[in-house]
Amino acid sequence: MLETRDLHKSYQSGDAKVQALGGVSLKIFPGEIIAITGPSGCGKSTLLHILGALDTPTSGQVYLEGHPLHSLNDDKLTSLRQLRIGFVFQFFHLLPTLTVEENVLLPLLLSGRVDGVGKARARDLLEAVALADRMHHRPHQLSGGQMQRAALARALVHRPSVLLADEPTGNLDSASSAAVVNLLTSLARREKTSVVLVTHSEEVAKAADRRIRLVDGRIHS
Amino acid sequence: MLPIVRADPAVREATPVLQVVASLPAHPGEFLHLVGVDPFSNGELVTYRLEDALKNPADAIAFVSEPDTIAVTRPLADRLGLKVGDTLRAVHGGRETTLRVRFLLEPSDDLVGADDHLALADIATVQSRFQLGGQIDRIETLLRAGSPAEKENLRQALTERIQSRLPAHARAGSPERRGREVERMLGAFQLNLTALSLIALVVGMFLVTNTVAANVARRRSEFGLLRALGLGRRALTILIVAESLLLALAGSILGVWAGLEVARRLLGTVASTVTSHYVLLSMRDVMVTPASLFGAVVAGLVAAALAAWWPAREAARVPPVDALQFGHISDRAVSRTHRFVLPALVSLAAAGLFSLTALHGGFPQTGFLAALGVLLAAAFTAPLVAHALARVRPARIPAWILGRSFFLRGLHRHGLAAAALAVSIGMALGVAIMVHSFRVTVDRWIGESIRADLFIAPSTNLVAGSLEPLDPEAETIATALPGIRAVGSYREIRLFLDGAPAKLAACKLKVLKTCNPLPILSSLPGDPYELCQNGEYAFVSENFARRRHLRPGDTVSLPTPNGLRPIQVAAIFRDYTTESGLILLDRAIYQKITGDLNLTSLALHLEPGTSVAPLIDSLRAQLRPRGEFLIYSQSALRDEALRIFDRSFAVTELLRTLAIGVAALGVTLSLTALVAERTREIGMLRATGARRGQVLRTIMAEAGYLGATGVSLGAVTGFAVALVLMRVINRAFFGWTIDWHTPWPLLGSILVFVFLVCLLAGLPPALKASRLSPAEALRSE
Ligand SMILES: Nc1ncnc2c1ncn2[C@@H]1O[C@H](COP(=O)(O)OP(=O)(O)OP(=O)(O)O)[C@@H](O)[C@H]1O
Ligand SMILES: [Mg+2]
Repeated sequence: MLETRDLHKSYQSGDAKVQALGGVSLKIFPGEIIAITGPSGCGKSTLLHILGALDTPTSGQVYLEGHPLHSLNDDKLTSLRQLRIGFVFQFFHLLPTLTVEENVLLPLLLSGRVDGVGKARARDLLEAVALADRMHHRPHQLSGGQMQRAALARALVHRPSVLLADEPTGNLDSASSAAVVNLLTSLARREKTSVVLVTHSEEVAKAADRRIRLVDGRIHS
Repeated sequence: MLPIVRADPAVREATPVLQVVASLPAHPGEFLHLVGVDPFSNGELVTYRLEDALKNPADAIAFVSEPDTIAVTRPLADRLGLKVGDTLRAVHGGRETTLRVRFLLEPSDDLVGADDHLALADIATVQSRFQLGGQIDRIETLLRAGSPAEKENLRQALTERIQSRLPAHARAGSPERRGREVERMLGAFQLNLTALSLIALVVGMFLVTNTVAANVARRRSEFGLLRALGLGRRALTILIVAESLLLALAGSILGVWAGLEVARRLLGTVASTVTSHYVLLSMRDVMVTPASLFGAVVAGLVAAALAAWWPAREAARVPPVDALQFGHISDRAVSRTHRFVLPALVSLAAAGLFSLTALHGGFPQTGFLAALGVLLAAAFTAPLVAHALARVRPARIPAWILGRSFFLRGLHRHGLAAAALAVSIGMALGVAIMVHSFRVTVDRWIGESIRADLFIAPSTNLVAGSLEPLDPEAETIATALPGIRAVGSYREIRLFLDGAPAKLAACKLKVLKTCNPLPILSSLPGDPYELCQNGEYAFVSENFARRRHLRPGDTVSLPTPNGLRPIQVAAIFRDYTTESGLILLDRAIYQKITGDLNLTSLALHLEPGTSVAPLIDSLRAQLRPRGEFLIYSQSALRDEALRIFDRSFAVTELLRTLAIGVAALGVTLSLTALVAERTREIGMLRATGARRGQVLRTIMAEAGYLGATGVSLGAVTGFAVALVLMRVINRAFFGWTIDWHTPWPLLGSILVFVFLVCLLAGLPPALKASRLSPAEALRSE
């Protein structure tokens, strides 16, 4: 249901042309959890951005549940992100002046879907990540691990079909890191959401159903 | 008098000077500033460079022997199409004469203070042509002395010696003194401009602080690295300030250049304001000394250094480890607004204190410090107001919710931008309220105090802003016209009382009382008009009385040709014609004590039902042979007065626009810096499903909160500033009472306008934010 065919992405920096992806083809099935590893600069973030409809490839195709992401305009891509994609980032990116609950509701807010059902959903997810008692707190009152758990709830609140995480544990100590990964995988399985997880950590990669190694913009298995 | 001065042992040379302003009937609107000199005694004094024009002795002889010879400047001759040998009709004091142009004066820098209208003639020529008898205006002297100190001593001794023998209405003094008196009158005008430009500088400082803070935030990791590599705190502060100074130098030089350009364009406006209010003045070019240019650059640099110092110190204080890490320091700012309460209160208290010293302590200048205090208080209150406004929580509109969130987080930056906005708006509104109140007050005062239907004055009085005497025949002609109920005649002169300028006027009080009663504020018991008609009593204007602490019953010593004359104040009345203050005497009393029979203007009161237009026509026809006259109907006079008023304050409008423009730039800068700081966060929003339009509207909402803060605080500040301007500064400097009139529609439109400008200022950063590519934004560091 998330499929790429011969993806290429290159950047023009000055006179030099940098090839970030050099022909990536892969298929991710519903509910599947995939870990992408590889050395720094091999194109992991680039791939994730294209999968998440944040960026378009130079050539090749991406299909998300049949939608050709490579040929849609910004507006259509945004609509797809609103409905089907969730993101978790290394630096959490919670808005500090909003409460934890408001932060979790952000995807619904942006698509104008905050209602009783949505709020119940947010509450449910906050309970799942063990932050129900903190929902009226501000992000700066939370620890790093707690912030990432709130970000996880935010990424899932709108029931996306795919969850994309770029080094979600990159800023956490190993204990919080393990807790976040456990929550991430267990929630994804509960919600039947596919996950693409970029990580440097062997420990984290082990939690995935399948591992893909990128080297110089190509799959190396 | 001349022989006495010449005989004094300290005097090497003395020369008489007589100056008149003459209108030129053949060239409407033009006039001569005719200076009568004595070319023989003038030689060494070189008051005016005659020798260039009079190249050989024959010329000099022609200059004195031919009774109609004058020298005019070449630019004027070119403009009027005059050649050497041409004749020119000129009118002064109701007397017309023909003058012959025999010499042309080359404009040169030696003729300091001179302008195209200067004309020179032998003093006897001026006296005889205009039938001025042996009259002279002043005697210029050259002292026998070597060193400057010796000269100063001699001068003082001479001044005392001569003053004791001078008629009371003449004064002895150094040439600078004349300049100083003019300066004093110009001082008030300059004060207004200086105060306004200082405010622009203050607003500019907010901008510098904001920019440096933004810049420092952007380069946190760079500075962190420098600190980690061993750069000390102080060294880093100096580094940042030095960098700002470099930019400020470029900015100041650019500013000076732009200032000169603007000055050239504004010259005409300012010159005519000054002329219509203060003294005869025409300006040819911008005169700027290198010192004042240097001063401007230094002021710019000092302001920039002060403004950069604070954010630089903040940056240097961040521990290197924190600075190297990614993250925001800004969250602290949110909870720190309470620390501005005390400074705000202190500023306000200082403003009150300075108001008192300005009003009662004899230091009118501190009025401006009071205004500054009010503005500072507003600046310190800005973060508090921002917080209060951010309590307005939007319900469901995502861009609004996010904009509010961004605004609250950005307060460390927006605080300054809002302060700058509030200060500019406060200044703009304050001045607007003051000007409007002043205008309404003056307008009403004209309506109630100027009741005559027609006014007649020599036209030179408009052209040159001078007070030339009117042809006495004019009064006879006017009185003889049909339909005239009464003719009020006025004599006005400028004089100095205890070293300060004042205006002395005389008129027929009987006419005034029946046709045009004065707005009297307080008076001696009994009828003040009766008192003034029968004895040495006078009316004085409110500002005159306030400045000299006079009440009815007090006396004023009036200098007359026969010595000082004590005159009792019979009543105090409201008057806005002159900021130096007015003393009004009955005409008969005035003529008795001064011997001056001249008139300056006439006020005609008509019988009810008489139509004005034909009357003006017949007056024109009868007066034409006697020179050029200004004939105003009451409404034309009112229009003219208001026109002069509006022109005087036109400059403040420009400065207002400038200050608001600068503050709006602050909004753009603040938001641009914040958009740069939040690039990743904007990337997150886009990833989470925000559309471009939503990002745009979010930043616009933020600009809206910022604008609303500035506008609401600025509105309140405006009233406070107006209070200080009207009740402190104007009262302390000019002694005027200005009735408070709030120009609601104008204030409303200024506020709406500024708010819209803020939104507009937010547009570039908002567009920039909305156009960020989400992938790039997330990747950025
Ligand atoms: N905007 C850009 N312009 C030029 N080159 C870019 C740009 N973005 C990425 N690249 C290059 O593309 C390549 C892949 O980058 P990418 O960020 O995908 O690597 P990564 O695998 O995520 O690395 P890391 O593990 O360090 O995050 C790198 O060589 C990078 O320098
Ligand atoms: Mg990466």
